[in-house]
Amino acid sequence: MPSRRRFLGSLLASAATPWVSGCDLGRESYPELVWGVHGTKPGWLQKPRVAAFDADDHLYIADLTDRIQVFDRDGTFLRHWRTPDLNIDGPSGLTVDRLGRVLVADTHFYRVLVYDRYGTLLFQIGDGVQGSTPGRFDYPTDVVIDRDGCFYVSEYGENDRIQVFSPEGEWLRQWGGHGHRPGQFVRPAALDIDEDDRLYVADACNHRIQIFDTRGELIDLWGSRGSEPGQINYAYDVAIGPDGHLCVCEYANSRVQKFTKDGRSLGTWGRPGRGPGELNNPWALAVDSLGAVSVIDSNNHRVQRFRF
Amino acid sequence: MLDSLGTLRLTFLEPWWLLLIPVLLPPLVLLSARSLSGLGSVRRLIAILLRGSVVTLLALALADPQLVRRNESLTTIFLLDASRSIPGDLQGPMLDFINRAVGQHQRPGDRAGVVVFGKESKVESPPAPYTETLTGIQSTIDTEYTDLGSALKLALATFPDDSARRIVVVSDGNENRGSAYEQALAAAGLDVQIDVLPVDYVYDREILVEKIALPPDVKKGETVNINVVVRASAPARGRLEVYQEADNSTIPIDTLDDVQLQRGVNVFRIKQDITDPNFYTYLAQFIPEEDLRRGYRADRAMNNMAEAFTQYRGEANVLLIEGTANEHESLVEALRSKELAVTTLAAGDVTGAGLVGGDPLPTDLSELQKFDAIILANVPKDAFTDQQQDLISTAVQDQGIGLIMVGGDRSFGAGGWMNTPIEKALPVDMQIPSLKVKGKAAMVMIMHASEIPEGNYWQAVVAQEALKTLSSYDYAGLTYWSGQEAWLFTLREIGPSKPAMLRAIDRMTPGDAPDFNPLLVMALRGLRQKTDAMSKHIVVISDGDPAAPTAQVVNQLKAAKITVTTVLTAAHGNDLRSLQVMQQLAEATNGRFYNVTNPKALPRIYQKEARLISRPLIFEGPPPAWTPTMVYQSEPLLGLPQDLPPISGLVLSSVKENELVEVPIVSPNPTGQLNPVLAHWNYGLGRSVAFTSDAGQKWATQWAGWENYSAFWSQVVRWALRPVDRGNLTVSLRREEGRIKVVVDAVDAENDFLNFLQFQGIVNRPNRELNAPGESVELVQVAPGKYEGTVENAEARGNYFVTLGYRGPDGAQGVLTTGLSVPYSDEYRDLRSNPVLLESLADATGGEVFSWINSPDGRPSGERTAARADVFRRDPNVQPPRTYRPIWHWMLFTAAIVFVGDVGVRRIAPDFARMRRNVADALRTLRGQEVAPRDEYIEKLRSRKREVGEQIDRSRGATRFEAPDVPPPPSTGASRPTADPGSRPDRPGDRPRSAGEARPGSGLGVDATPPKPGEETYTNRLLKAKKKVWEERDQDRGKDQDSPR
Repeated sequence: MPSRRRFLGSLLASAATPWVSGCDLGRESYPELVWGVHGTKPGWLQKPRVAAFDADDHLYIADLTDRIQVFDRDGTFLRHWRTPDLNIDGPSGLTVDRLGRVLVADTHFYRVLVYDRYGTLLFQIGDGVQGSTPGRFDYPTDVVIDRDGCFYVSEYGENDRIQVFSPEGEWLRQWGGHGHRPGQFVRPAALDIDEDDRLYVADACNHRIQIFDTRGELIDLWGSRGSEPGQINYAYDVAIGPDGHLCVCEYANSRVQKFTKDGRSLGTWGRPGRGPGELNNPWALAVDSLGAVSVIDSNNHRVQRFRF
Repeated sequence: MLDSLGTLRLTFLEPWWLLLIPVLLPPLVLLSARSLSGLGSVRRLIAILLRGSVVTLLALALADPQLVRRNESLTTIFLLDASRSIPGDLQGPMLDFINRAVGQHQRPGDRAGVVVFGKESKVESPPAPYTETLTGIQSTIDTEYTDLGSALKLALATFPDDSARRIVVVSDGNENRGSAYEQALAAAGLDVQIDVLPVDYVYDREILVEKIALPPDVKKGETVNINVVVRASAPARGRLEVYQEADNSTIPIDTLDDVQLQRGVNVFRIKQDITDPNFYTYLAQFIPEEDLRRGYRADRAMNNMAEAFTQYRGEANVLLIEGTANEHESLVEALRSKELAVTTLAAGDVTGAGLVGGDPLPTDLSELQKFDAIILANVPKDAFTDQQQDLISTAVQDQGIGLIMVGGDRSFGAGGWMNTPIEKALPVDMQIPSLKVKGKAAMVMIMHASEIPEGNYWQAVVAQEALKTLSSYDYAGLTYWSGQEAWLFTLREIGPSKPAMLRAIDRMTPGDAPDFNPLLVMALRGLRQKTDAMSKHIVVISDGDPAAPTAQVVNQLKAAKITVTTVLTAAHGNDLRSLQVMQQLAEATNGRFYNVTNPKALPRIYQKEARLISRPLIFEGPPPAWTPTMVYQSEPLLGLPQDLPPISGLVLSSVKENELVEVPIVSPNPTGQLNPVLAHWNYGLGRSVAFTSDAGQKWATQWAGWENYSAFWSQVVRWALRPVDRGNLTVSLRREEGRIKVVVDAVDAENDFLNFLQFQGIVNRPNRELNAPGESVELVQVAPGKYEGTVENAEARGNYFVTLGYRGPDGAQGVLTTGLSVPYSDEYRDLRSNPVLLESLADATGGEVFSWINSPDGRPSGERTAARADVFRRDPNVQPPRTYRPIWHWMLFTAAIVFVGDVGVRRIAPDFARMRRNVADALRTLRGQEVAPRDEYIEKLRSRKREVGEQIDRSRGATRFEAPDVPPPPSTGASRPTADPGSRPDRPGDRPRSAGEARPGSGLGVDATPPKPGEETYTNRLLKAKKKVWEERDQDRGKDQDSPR
């Protein structure tokens, strides 16, 4: 019987995997949960590109249809809303801040939107006009707030930079610039900030993580292009877990890599593909309060949850 | 078949094996009763029963028993007619009927589905336990026709396998495609019942403009009678308007106000003078009086219109399409001076928005009818759509219109015309052997996911178009984002790998690349290696989203003389920055920048890009100028002098290998090969000419001043003109019942019948597929001078053209073209429903015919109708499906177990009394009572043992033999080969046996009583004998040792 043969085959294979490929792959490639239906109906995902957990472990996901959808930790659909203007490209940055607000980098409308958790628009940063002058954005990619409530917005385009705004949305300062030198960026794709107000920037096309203080002073940088452990291939998202380690979503390696804050690799999860435990150009990840990582498997239109 | 519980039944596929049971059972019982007589009656009975069961089970297994499960659920699929013939106000009740019928009659487990149909059928909702309420029709279908047959077919294919099936047709029964009855017969064969609910209507005040009758050809100064035929189902009043359409403009020519229509056919005749040669379309529309019109649905007004066309052929009319406006003025002048009417059109230029500027080029055969030849003068392929190219080729092949391609840097291969229908029509091929090629082009395409609608599709289309436009000796490569930067195929000579490249492109799904740099660097490295490439080019398509290329990479590209064309697919709206990135990259590298606002422009952009770099087909010396050679005077060159003016360039091409091709003028340069300058041949009904140098602009400048310039060109063009009809043939087309009848009346100038003409007829339909071959029509002579043929399936709306080439027995020949317009589909001709067809469907399948029940306001009520129509009823005609499961192996298994039971019954005799006692004892022990000793049992055992012992002794006595006396064994110390029963052990591990244990009777029979002294047992005697032997042996050994060796 084919099923019996398959059953026995898989039994043998699963028994042999740790011997053949080493424990790393066998252990890390299995997700705890895979969910998501491809489509544009409410609760379905159309190339999701960004996600964040709130304090209740509800997952906020923005996809190409300019929707922000809210799911519980296991993928049960709760509610959704749309960003004010529609395009065929969605926001590429989303953060739930310390105050429970949902901060959305509305990339192709050159602004940052601040919502409450139910989708009521509170205010926006940037006048929605594309520009490289202070206070305007080219392509804002992500936004976070520090302990004082100041907004840090990364953007790429004409100016690959980070702009800082007061809690009221007034422009304060900026740093960065397009380039490969330390402190410069080529497509800073994501931001995260730790409890000491250190800012972690996923410098995507430089394949590295840069760490700054709130004044823009470079504290550390690490990472180089490659597919070996410890190397990065297009870092599209970075998130700090409850254990204080960094999870980096690698777009081109189709994997998630865990680092210590000083850049030591602690392991990788995932490989390119369409099966469970396989990713197809993931754009983002989010770490919940239990320390499990939900990775946004963008081109597979789904979410996979796993633990390192 | 045996009845069993519920929906389960048992059946046998080979029941004759069951005969074994009556044959085998009686002898088995008789034999067993004899052979098992020693078992006692109960065990014997059980054994016989078990044996009988084994045999019965084996016989059953041989008969192949099957467990049959009947599924009692029913699936009903509604076929909902959505065609235009259904009056709009009936659609609501039809939907309501379906919703209510499902709601009221569906039983648990039943499923309902809906298929809607018009020209095609679609599953509106698949069979499911129905929960959704239909509020309208979501599927998009062509409602211009009704194909009930295909809907039945789809429904039959949609049914699930595991339930009974019924179809409910809700339609007017007016089918104009397919055959519903055939499908109903198929349904009947599959036990599918068809119920019908005919939708009744009569358009009692309907008006149809049936047709406009007018002659297909008119002559100069002739007055045309335009006959408008209007059919009315009731007397009516209104206005009749007639328009004339020519050259894309419509003018009203007559309006008849306050027309009184009689019931039946009304004919209105309008006279029209035609003065200018042209192709005219007439359109007639009847507008009923306002109050009359209000009662009808708007779309029924469709049949209030009809159109027809005619043409007036004047002097020969030539269409010249050029790449740049007024580029060929001298040629046009020359032709006009020789009494050829020339219409010039300039093609537009390809930009991101599509084709910009220029005149609209013909898109329909009717627009080409007034021309006798088409000149493509230095115009590139990308100015034409595939349809337009096909149209021109068809006009030549099927309608006899001439085609002339005049050279230039955007013509022939240099204009990207290779692998097109136009190339097929011309006497030369654009591809030339690679030996002749002066330089190659190398092109790398960089594909980035574009998020425009159907982005991946367009990416594949553009890449394939570019590949098709490049020559086979050019280099092509394609890089894209496939999870990371990668080559889809590395930069290589296209050559034979073109099909493989095209296939790879089909499978390509470019991803969202984050950065331009790595892709550009890959392309740069690839291009640098191709040192023999004359032009190196990169085409990037992107939404401008990736990180911009660094100045360093841009400088490297510039240094390597690589041009980069950027194609921005504006996914993000009016995005300044992506526009800048793309524009700057193109400008910095001398490429072109396209901001694509219309994806349909994309293929042309890629064709143009590929064409611009693939220029090795142009030869411009050295030498600076040379004289082409007239090899011989072919028909178009008759009367021209042999000496031709020099030329300074031409587009390389190769002559088609076909005996029809004539090459009267060739170029001696480039040397070593045949370079056609003028070539011509017949293609289908038409003729085509290739002139590979230009018409006096750049390469043939001296020709413009040549005294024979006008004569040369006018003779070439005249040769190619559509053949003139020299006979006196009249063709009429008549449309009836979905077909077009072609009738030719042939008489000569003396009004004698022309008999035995041979016709080659070609039909061009309005719905003809691109690149489909022309469809032929057979004409047969039916009477003296009368020929007839039929074009089947002429149902599509639009213009039909019939071109007839004929040849008489005397060698006379000619070409006739005529046409007919179908103004609206047959859907609009039906003025009443056709319940008879629907009833026949129900009749064929044993279904029911429901009828509408009106609500109090007199309108059909879906609710009331549904209440009477049980579409989920269980009908004996509707057979529920059965699933069969073989169970013979279970029978065999049971037989094996029963067989073991049979053996057991014969071999094991259970002591029921003892079992009972044991149970009683156990119970007593449990209660704490003392269990009575088994005296009786032990006593019985002892006496039995004694009995057996005596028996053995008796038999021993019979076989006793006398042995010599041996001394009794020493009582201490010395080891013995064996011990007496009851003696103490001499091994430490042996358990000392107590006196009580060693009491008589505890052994096994033979030593029931201890042997008396002096009385020797059999064993003792044996032992003595053995001992004696050993002693003798010892003595012998001692002697041996003492003796000297």
